[in-house]
Amino acid sequence: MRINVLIILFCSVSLIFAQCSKKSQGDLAAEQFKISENASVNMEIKKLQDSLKSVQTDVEKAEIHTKIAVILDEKGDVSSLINSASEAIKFQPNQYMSHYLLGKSYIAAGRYNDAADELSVSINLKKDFAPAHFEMGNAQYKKFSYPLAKESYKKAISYDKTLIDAYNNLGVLSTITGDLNAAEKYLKTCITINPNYAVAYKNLGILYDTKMKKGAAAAENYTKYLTLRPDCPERGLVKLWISAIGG
Amino acid sequence: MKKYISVFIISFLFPAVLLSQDSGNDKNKIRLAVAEFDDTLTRTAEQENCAESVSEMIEESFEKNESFYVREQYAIKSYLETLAQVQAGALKPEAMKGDPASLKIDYLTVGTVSKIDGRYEVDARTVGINNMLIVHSHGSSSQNLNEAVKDIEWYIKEKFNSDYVKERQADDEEKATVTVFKFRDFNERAGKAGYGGTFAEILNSQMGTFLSIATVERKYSKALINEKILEMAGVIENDESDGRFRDKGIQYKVEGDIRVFSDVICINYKMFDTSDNSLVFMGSKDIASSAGLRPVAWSISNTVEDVLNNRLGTLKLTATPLEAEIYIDGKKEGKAPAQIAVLRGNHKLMVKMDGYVPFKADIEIQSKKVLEQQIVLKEVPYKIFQNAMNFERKRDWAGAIAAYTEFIKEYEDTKEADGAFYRKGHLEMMYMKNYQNALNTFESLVKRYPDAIIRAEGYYGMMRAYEFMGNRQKASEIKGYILTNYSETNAAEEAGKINYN
Repeated sequence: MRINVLIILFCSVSLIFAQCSKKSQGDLAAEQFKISENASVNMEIKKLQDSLKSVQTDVEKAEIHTKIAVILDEKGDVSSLINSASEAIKFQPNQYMSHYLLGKSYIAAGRYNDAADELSVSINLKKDFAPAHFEMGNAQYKKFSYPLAKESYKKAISYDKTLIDAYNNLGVLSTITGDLNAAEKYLKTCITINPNYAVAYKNLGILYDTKMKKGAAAAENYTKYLTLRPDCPERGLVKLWISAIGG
Repeated sequence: MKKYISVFIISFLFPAVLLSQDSGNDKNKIRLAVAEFDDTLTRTAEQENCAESVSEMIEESFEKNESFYVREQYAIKSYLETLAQVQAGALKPEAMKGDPASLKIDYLTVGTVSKIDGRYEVDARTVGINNMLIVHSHGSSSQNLNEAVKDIEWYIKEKFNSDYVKERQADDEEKATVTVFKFRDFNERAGKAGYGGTFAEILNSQMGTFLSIATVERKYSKALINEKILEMAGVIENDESDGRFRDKGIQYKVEGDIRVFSDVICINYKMFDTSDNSLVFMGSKDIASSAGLRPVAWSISNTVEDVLNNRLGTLKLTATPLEAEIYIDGKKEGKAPAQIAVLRGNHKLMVKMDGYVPFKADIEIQSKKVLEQQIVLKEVPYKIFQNAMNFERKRDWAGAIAAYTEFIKEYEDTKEADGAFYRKGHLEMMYMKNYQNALNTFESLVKRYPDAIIRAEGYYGMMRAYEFMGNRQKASEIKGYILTNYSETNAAEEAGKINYN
């Protein structure tokens, strides 16, 4: 009896100890945040921020803020990106890149009208800047202004024939608006430019499956997508689609 | 007589007891079933066929616990099949909500098993089958699958009982309703790593632990938009999820993206108000490795909970004229009319438009309250400006400078004040010969960061002021600056005519 009590007591204490000895999620998070401060992208931002203290002219300040904004754009830190791009514009209002970055960040923040305003400024400053036309397309797309979005994507392509994302978005938009042959053409162009551009296969699969009712072609494209993105989270879903069309 | 009683007990009461057990009529027990967990988010977990064993272990732990009445999976097979079809987009999401009377359960435990970088991520959530709100949730990370499941079992044993469920469900109608939507694997490295699906599940579990918010299970909310056509992937997505969530009473959605770099993983998240698709809050967190996914989800979920319950109010603003720009604490927040989610506390509001006097006010935003502001902007009165120009016509330079100074003082925040600054500096320099004052005025103009043309004019004024003060070197430096940076302006053209060598 006494042994049983001791065993139970020991087990309970061990369990409590095991729970307590674990680091809390808060501590683990703090550790992760601390280590990531030394990541190369963050060090680069820190270096640029430090250099702001020693520069004199507005143009230099604007250039540094723009460089910081470019890194923040890659990281996806929209809130900080808006601040940096706005600072760059404050110091150098006629710089297309900072208006472009600010416009792009506004799209991410759901401020599509503001985005369109900033991207217009960027385009006025540099008419052949394809990324600004592309982002203008995105802003219009998010505003459900599909004809304007298409126009902007086409302009982007006219300045950069290899802008694969613009072809892809045109493919998606054309599917939504029922222009199926155009959709097929744009999505196939993506694959011509880059045969490993996985998303285009998935989109083509959906186009053939849901709109053009070409089961075999749909299954083929879904399968190709899974081959290129074997670890994608929607793997199970796409497999179900393939089996549903008898693939 | 005893014999009759025995027969009565055997023939009537005993089956009745059995029947009551089968239907789970014990009011103190939590009636639930465990659906097979999803292991398809990561290929390694799927290959190891983790889902079946994990859901069996979790089911067993419920069965051992007297707080629960557990219906086995086969007993509600057709409902679970419906569930799977809903999640695959083959059936409408309404079919996911079960009928507690016919199913004889009130709750369903769902979950996910993923394997990331050799570590198992197990998440289990129990949801009400009539409203899909999470009533208990826990997730665990471990190199060992059994260990991760045991951790969840411990939480079920220690924290999950009828009292806890009652506490969870108290005042559900009062709580903000939120769901975790999706986290995109944004860049190429992230696409290869495939953390997004698992991270959304982890965050869902973390959100599901809060008593103070109503978290809608994402397996349900995701099914609301699980149509193939909406799965078409643009570079940005137009998923129309807000409308569908709003229709189902989900007020907020949390979504985001993951970007993986060589030595850091960036988790970006945003919370949208589904009523108008407006961004309520956004943030960004960096972690050093995938081991930080659960801790960072913990951190983000705490922020979201805090924002929803303590930090968020609404500013509803209309303005005449329309399209006036709204600034809160100096940051542009859009154009009027607007309904803006604002963090609780005191803020400086400014509404402005060229040609109008900016409206400025200190506002106090209270959490969960709406502050309404109807603003009529007044046109800039040019009377003072005209007075100054009249003084200039009469060559009363001191009077003109005083009038411009008054205009600047009264309407400093207007675009028109830029002109007043320029005229004032010009008069101080050219007619009053007070070069230091002129220099100060032009410097003030440049520091206001007006548009490029006016700024170039400001620099031109500074150049001339230095020239008149005899500092040709400084004047020459500014001239170079104007020619380099404002080459297309009149100021540059004029500056180019002056030779300081």
